[in-house]
Amino acid sequence: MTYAFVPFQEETISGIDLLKRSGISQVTISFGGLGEGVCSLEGEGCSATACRRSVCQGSGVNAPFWQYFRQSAPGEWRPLTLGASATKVRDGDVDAWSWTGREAGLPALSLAEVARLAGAPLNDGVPGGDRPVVQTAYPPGFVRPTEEKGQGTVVYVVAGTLLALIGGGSIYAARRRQLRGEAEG
Amino acid sequence: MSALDRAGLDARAWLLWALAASLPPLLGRNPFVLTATLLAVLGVRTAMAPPSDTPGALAWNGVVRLAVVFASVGALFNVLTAHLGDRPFAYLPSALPLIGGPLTLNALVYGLLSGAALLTLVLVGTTLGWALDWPTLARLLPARLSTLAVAGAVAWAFVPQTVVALREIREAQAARGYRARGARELVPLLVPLLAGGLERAVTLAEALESRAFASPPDSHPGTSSRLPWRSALAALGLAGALLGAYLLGAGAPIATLPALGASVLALAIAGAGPRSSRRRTRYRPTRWSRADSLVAVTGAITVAAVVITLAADPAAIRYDPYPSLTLPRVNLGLLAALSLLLSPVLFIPARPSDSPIMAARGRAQRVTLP
Repeated sequence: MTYAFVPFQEETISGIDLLKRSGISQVTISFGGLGEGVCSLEGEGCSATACRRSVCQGSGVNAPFWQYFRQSAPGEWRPLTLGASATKVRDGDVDAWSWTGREAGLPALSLAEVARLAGAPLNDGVPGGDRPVVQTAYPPGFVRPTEEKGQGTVVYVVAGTLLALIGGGSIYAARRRQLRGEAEG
Repeated sequence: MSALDRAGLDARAWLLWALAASLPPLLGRNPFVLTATLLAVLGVRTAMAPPSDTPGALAWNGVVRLAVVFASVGALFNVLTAHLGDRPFAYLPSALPLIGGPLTLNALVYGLLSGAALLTLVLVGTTLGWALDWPTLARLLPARLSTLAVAGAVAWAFVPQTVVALREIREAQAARGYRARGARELVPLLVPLLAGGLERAVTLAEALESRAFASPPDSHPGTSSRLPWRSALAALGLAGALLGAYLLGAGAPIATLPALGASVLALAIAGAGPRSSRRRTRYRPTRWSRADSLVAVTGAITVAAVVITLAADPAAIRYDPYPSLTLPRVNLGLLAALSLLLSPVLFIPARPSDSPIMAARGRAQRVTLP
């Protein structure tokens, strides 16, 4: 689970602004006047192509998509069905995004707990600070996924050689045709 | 004119080649895969295309130019509207509706890759449009599927015929001293184009009818009761093929295999029905040559390589530059398999004019004529 604590000076900001200021890795797509749709957060979600098509929603009953919630009382998460662009965020609000199909199963969290889990500094014993902080916490027993190592240079050199060979074959074909045309007069 | 005369290969071998060349751009946006496919298709098209001053070549080249324009516009549109990614290179004021926001290299890369995929598909289609002999294909398919080949022939011939007709009308109007200067003055061009199109459609319909393409199914005693379920089976087979194509595109290559297997089985059973009492006359039966086998086998290897890679290493076919622009994954085996798409260039037997004697004769003529 990724926690983010976002301080802001304005009285209200939109949910999508909150997300963008949080520092969470994200892909969103604009749907014009309808606002922005969230495709992926922290690498979880769907590609931009699938997002444009169906905002990540699959055909299955429990097919997951990014759902937006706000905690109205401890443990009571209310879905914000108007979307992040049309939702106003005020000081003290606790919002959550869940990549699920039906029940999100979100735990009860206070703003102080979120700030602590996100790693916000303490000001007179109260978590705060003037910069957004974000941190991902893994449940016990869960192994942190390792970054996939890229392919070596040799692979790309061989790939380039293969492409050059295919290109050479195409040039050979063109040259052969040109010779044929000249032969035909 | 048979397929052998046109481009030296059987229509079925060309179809398999086209399937193999179309799958990579349909399934993903990996730059290495797209480049390999585009280069191979360009090579085959260059080798097989008719001389550039013939009407057919001019028409298909017009389609390719149109595809280049669409691909460029698509790339530009993507840059202006997809404000995604970690590599911004410019900003437009956010007050501008739709296009306001950061312009990113990620969006440019995705737009260019999508344009390359579109161009590759159009090049495959135009190569097929020249190389494939639809009448031969109509004769090769089972009688129950011949209407499909006829529909394909009509659809494929529509664009080049329209382009050629438009050019002829424009030249004729220019000879009368007419020059279109605005949208309102296009009427003398568009009305004859529409009338000519209708006339061609009526002529084609009459030609098809005279060749018994509109005849009802065989109604011989004893066979009529078996026809409906065979027709239904043929329809189910085609639906299964469509389902298989959808599953492959949706990224479920394993589920594709049973769907396509069932489709082939259904079409085979439907096609193996009782022989029709009406038999078509064939003046020149098509022959399956060694070159056909080689192109078909290499095409099948390429299709298998693409499907297996999609199941085992999908990142080698699919590539998404959002949210981070990263180096695409390379699968060398897949690239090697894609190089087999050049097989029509290598395996097609040389035409008489390709032989050294004819080439020497051509050169001698060029030397002596002046």
